Amino acid sequence: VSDEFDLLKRWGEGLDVTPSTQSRREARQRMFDALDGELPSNGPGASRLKRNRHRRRIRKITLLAAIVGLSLTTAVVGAQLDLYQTTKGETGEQLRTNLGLSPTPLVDGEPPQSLFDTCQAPGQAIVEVPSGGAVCVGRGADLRGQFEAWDLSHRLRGDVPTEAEREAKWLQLRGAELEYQGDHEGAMRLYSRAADLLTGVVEPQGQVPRDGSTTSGE
Amino acid sequence: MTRAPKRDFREGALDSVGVNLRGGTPSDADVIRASIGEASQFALVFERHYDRVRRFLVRRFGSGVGEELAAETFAQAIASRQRYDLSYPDAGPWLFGIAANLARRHAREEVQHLRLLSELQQGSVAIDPGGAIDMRMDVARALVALDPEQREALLLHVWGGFPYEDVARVTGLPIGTVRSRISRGKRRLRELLDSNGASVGRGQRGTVGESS
Repeated sequence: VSDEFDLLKRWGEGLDVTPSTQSRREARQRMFDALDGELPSNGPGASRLKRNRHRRRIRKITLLAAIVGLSLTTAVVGAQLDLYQTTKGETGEQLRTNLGLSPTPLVDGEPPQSLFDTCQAPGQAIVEVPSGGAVCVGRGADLRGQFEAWDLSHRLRGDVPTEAEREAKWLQLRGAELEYQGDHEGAMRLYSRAADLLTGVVEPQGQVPRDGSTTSGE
Repeated sequence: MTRAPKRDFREGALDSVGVNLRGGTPSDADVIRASIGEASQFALVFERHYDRVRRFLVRRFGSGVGEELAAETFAQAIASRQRYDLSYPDAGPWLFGIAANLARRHAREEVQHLRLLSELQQGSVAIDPGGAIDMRMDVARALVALDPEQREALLLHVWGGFPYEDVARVTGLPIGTVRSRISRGKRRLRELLDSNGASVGRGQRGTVGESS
């Protein structure tokens, strides 16, 4: 084996990430979904197909957003953690623990693969925020976890967010939550303050989640 | 109440392959032929090849896009199985051909992924002072700089594990062209790594594949 081939082969092996059973199952199901004319039109199978089609639509939206450069919180951090795992041999969860972050809620006993995985409960929805990016909001949505994921993804890239950026992101997440609840004015107020923070018009007031508590101050 | 086993309604396909295709392990061509009458048989092709296709694409695109493309590869494969050339027992090159077509349409994401790997160096230096990661980033940078056609042929050969003949089948190119692209890609890779200060095989900056 030549040096270059051996180097490339071994480097590639270092990038391998074990597939989750969920992603494998979805790929398999999607394969059969491609056979529209050969699928059941009703019954439990059809119901599952509809759900999976919906999941794929969301995935495509997520993928599209990633392609055009939006910072989709969980998708981005997921990719970052995978990369970190391959270069350091440490899992994303271990990393989160080492950094003192709360563990990622599991989906079917496995780490979430996308924002949609973490946003499936009744009463939850994925909402876009003005700065680009998306957030899971609604009943029981883990805003703080998503904030931490965003923060962590930037730290992993060596791009440590400033206090103003952190506070702006937190306000945007809360604004998205308010918007989902129908409080458009409240959402705009938070979005506006976030914009002011990012442009330096106002100074941060420390209104970000810290040490297990959430400071709103609004 | 007795709880039914939690199985996908199509997972029985694997069992039925054994029933319908008696007389030794069926080739991929046998399975695809059977799947034309009964699509569920195609599950065996999925089971045989999914991990390899996924691994190849995840290396090139990262887990998000890579898994998306792997799933799309098999969705396109099952939809076009009637056009499979049954004279080829192994469906691997055919599946990688579909994957390669999809990959070409996402060339920009591949470059983004490789650049992201390179950029991670900045955040990793502090936690990996031994420098093993430097070599990895050198490879990522070198791959970005390679001609896309050379990169594709090189990766199909090295990561896909295909001999030249199968790379030719995957890409639809004459074997001479494949040989040339792989040869030139390999030479260019060496030049790029040397220009980055990473001497192949020297290992002074950390051995590839190890974590410090």
